Amino acid sequence: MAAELRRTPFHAFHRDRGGRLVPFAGWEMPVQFPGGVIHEHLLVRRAAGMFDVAHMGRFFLRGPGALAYANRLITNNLEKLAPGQLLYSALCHEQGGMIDDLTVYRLDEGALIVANAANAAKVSDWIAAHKPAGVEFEDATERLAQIALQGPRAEAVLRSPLADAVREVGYYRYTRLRWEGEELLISRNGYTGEDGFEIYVPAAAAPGLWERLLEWGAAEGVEPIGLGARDSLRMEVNYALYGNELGPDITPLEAGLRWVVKMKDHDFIGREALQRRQEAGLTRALVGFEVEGKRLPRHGHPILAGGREAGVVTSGGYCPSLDRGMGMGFVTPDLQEVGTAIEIDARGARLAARVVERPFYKQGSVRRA
Amino acid sequence: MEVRDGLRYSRDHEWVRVEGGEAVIGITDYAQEQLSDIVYVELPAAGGALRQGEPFGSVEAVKAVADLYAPLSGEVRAVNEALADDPALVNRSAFDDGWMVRLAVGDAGELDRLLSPADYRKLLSELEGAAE
Repeated sequence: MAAELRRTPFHAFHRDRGGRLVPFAGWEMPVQFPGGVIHEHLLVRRAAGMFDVAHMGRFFLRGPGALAYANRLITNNLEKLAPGQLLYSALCHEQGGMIDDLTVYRLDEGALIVANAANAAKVSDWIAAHKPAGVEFEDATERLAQIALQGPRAEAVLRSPLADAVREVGYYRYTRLRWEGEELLISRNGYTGEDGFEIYVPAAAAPGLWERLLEWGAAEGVEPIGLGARDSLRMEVNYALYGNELGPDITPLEAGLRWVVKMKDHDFIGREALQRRQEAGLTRALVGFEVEGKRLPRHGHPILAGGREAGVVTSGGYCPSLDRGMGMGFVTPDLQEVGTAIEIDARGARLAARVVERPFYKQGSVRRA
Repeated sequence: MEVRDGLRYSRDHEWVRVEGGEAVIGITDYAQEQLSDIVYVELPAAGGALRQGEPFGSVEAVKAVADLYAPLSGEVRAVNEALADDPALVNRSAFDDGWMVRLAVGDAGELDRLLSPADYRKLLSELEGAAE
């Protein structure tokens, strides 16, 4: 018998709004609301939307040595950050393949590590297994909830005291504040290509904050957004997804994450393997492509070149803001130049496609400073 | 969710409306709701032949692609050209404006293999029950 699905503090709101609830990584989550994925996608591009991301894993490392330990786990370099900053990183095993991709916050007391829901147990086990004595580990997935507010109007939605607190907070930075007696942590980052925030709130206060944000956002048309649009939004700006572009047999070097692998002056698990891989040269490259016609490429479709199999689609589908089918996939390195003609084998139908620049969608409101 | 009276249904969630010697075919309200956000409907050309139970096209939705299976055999007399520009018509009006093809019915006896509205409602309630 299947295990009971976990529920976030926002579950009742999703049900009341007609959210289509589906099992996702052990949680029951809304894939979409009655407006549909395209509507939700375009709403986030135009105004703002709210995402229940409480299913993600939230882990604290505290105490002396916590920061150094967190840094030994991840490929990016946490010690270059000041408190108040966060970064995106790969988490690799000794062979250089990825256990997960993470957001890591540098805290005064250590680090907050945010993992994908599907990998949370694996990440938690990994952290616990390598942890030196003296570093305190807390799985705060239940104690805290997490809301993503994303879109060009995200900041305009916030009211005092949140609005004042975030005004000076730059991209990939965070602040902590009190709201109705509760401590919140708010960072400016996200998974949509738009400006916006990730908000961490004690679970007991989370439903109240959710309602308040919806109320504040009413004038901007803010609605809750399901996992369907979360996926299409990230694909349109070419953010990688674990299980698609990322996996245990894929190194961050191949997956377009070279920029978060800091091998100089930074020792971490998997470094030697990644160095060797880098020196040996990569055997595949991640590309973005657009297809001709209206048939859509999908995850798992073979990529062909010159009639031969040359790769595989990792993510594919309809991009609502661009009104066309696009995708990402791994190909042999000779096919990675922009403009290269490839074909997608969509269940027997050959779709003509060509490699294009990334990100697909370039008009996002995300702040890069 | 609507199951319209006066139509016949396939287990693959197509509906059939018989009009004289012709049949109009589309997908059900249940099917469009399951697919949601339809962005492309691939249909055969007029003049093509359909065989009962065999694929004759596909529906691309944001989340997934689904094959269309012919509920009846026959020659395609017309396809719904409006779906080329506005495939979401199937989401908004599965039983009316979202129709897909019009057939010259090859074998009226095949209609007996399709479900009545009551039987199709029963199928849906079984599917809903299985999803609980």
